Amino acid sequence: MSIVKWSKKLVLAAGLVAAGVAGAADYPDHPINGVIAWGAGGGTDTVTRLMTPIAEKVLGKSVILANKTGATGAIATQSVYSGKTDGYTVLFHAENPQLYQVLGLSPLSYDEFEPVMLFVQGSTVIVVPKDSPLKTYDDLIKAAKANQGKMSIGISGVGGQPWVTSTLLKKVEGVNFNPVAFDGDGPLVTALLGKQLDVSGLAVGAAVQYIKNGDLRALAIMKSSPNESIPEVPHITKLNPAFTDAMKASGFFYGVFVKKGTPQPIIDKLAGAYKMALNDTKFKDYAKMNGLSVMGLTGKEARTFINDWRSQISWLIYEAGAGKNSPEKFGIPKPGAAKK
Amino acid sequence: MYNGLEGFLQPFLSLGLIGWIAGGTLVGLYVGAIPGLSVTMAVSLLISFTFSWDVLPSLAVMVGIYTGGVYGGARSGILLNIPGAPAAVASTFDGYPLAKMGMAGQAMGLSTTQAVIGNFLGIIVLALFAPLISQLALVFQARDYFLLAFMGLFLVGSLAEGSMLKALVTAFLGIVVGLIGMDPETGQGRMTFDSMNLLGGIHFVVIMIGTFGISEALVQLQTKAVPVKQKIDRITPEWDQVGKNMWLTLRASTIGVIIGALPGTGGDIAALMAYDHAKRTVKDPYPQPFGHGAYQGLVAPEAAANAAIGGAFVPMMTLGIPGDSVTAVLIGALIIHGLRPGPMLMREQPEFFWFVVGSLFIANIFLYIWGMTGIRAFSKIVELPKSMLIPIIVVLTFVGGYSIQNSITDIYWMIGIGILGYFMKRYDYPVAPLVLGVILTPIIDSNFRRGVQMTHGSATDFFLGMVTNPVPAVILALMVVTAVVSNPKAMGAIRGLFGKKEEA
Repeated sequence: MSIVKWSKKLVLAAGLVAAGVAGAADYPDHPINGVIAWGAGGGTDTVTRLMTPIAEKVLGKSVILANKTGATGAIATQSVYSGKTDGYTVLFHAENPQLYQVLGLSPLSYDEFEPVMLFVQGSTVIVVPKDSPLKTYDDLIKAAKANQGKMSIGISGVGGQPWVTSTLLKKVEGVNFNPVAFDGDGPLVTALLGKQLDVSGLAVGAAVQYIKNGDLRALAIMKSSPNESIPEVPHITKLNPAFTDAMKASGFFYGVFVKKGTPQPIIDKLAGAYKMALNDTKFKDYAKMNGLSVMGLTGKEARTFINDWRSQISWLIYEAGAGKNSPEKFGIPKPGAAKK
Repeated sequence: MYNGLEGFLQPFLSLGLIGWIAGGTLVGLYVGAIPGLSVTMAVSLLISFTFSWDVLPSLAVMVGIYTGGVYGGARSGILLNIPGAPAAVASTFDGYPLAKMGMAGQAMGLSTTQAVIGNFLGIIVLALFAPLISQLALVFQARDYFLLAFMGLFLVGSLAEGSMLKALVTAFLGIVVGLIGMDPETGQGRMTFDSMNLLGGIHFVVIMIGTFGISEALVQLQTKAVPVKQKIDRITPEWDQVGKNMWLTLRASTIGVIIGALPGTGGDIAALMAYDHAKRTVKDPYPQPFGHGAYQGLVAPEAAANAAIGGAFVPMMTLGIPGDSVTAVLIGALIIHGLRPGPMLMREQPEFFWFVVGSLFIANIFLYIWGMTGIRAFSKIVELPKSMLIPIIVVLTFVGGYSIQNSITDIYWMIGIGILGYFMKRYDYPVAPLVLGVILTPIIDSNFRRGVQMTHGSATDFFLGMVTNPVPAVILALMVVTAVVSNPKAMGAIRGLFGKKEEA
């Protein structure tokens, strides 16, 4: 290859880089499309709609939000993935894409995206109806051992937090439940209030008012520390230290993502804008009321968290025989093996 | 329960709040009338818009939009045979034939009166019996939802015009389409052919817009009929008709409140069930038989769909559980403003509950005002020449179809299903059973499996539970009575049993 051709390519490449940098410098110069992977009124949607007006002020351009629902967010994930890497199409999503491969929903995962920021982390609380004879976590385990596979536990589909809770109890405590699938936290609450279920995991935010009002009794929080919305409820690692490993990347999270290949200055600009939103008092009040811990993780930290989370839950699903594919097929390391 | 009653007066005492409710109701009416632009969507857009507002005005405007939107769906249903929302599907059955007879004005007037009465009854139930009704929402189990949705399938019989076989074929097609997508339990694809676009299923509103909207435009292109001149000298309904049908209105509203209050079903099913009920119980429809322009065929679904609003607020306010998709978004909106509806809020800020009741009441008053004043202008739509009307229909359906999930694939589905719908109409296959199948199948599917899980995998126990528990036993009894009463032969046999001779 001649030097002339080489230099031409270099000039071209330099030009492209320059264009990229220039694009990043005046980013955003037109409105940004925000794709919300979950429906109106849900957690992802509420957090996004709460933070975006503040971020818009920092960005100086509007973020046009649209809910694109279906297939636990796989459709929204695919649509942002099919878009450009110019930072004008961003994805607001939860933890779900990290399970698409194992569940066989989509070949995509957050490996194809850059986490701009992980906003908040939520945790699960184990609850029983108010007049249940089960008063403590120990009561629950004893009763479940005496009635293996008999007690009904609420789940919201494979890989969802209530399911994870039920599977972890099986793995760590060796107790089997009879899982009954509902369409999410709302229907699970209804079934618990109607005493149709013996026990269920619920997002703290969805459960807190019923716990405080005495309609549901909380037995344990699936987390390695107490939750400030319900500080009186013991956390699972205190009750049984055997849960320590499983609680390293626990719960669920919401965040904003862009397609991999988006220039770093653009990611930084978006992260800066959402950082402002995260520090807003109104948002902080919301997070506290809903039992969500503010994360604000960006860059490498965010990547480590989502990868640890994936290792944890993917292997849990696979070992429970509920996944379609082995995590090994996608090079997902076993939990604990990742950190070297 | 009656603590904080002063909250009821709060919206009445502020001109600003009344203004927001009135404005919301007006906007809701037009949003609701456009197929695919849904109340859920409008309310979720408002969340960002009202972010920096106080909670009361933002709630006021959302209540207005909800009230106006449910009612608005019937407008396009009556005028164009395209329901603006799923809850208005049943209003097309007799509403559109009335418009074709040049009675669009009366039809809209009647629909307004019924909407207002139904709405009002829903609000009364919310105000007086909320704790009682919310208990019903709690005792309703998977098995009962299964039975209720199964009973909904009886509607196919009511929707069959002529050939029962043809109605069954389209209902079956609807059931198959309703099963497409992710398995609700395992998350595996069903009939998705490994396509990501099918994994989310085909949204039932897309199917509704296709079968009603696109196919109607195609049918209109083919027929040579000139637009019917509308008699708009009379827009207020014939009051004696309102009076004569009051008993039906009451029954339909009861269906609406109860179905609306159940967290697993909403206004769409309520309206369809009320239509079915009317068709089975009203023996002398006026002025035409059912399906050809009967007032009763409009009275029942309109009263039920609007009564379902008050019903949907019952579990939302008392239990913190949404009664439908709009109340789900409303809960999200209130949480943003630092209020979480539910038992805690009822105890600590009961005046908030009464504020909602008061706002609904005001919205209902404006519903009557906006509904009645808009009729003349709306009637002109049907008189538009086809060269203008058809492009309007097509543009509206495309905008609506796209905005449901912001998906271009939905547009392709809508066109495909629209063409199918055209051929169905051409060969006298009723399209409504198709939509019915798509709406009911997911409810039947997931509740059947949930119910069997509840009985530890025993289908026998699942079915036995239906006769040993009061709630499903009542539904089963209703199903049997409905089947018998609407079957002349069976009724004849029963009369024979009691020794009475049937008149020839």
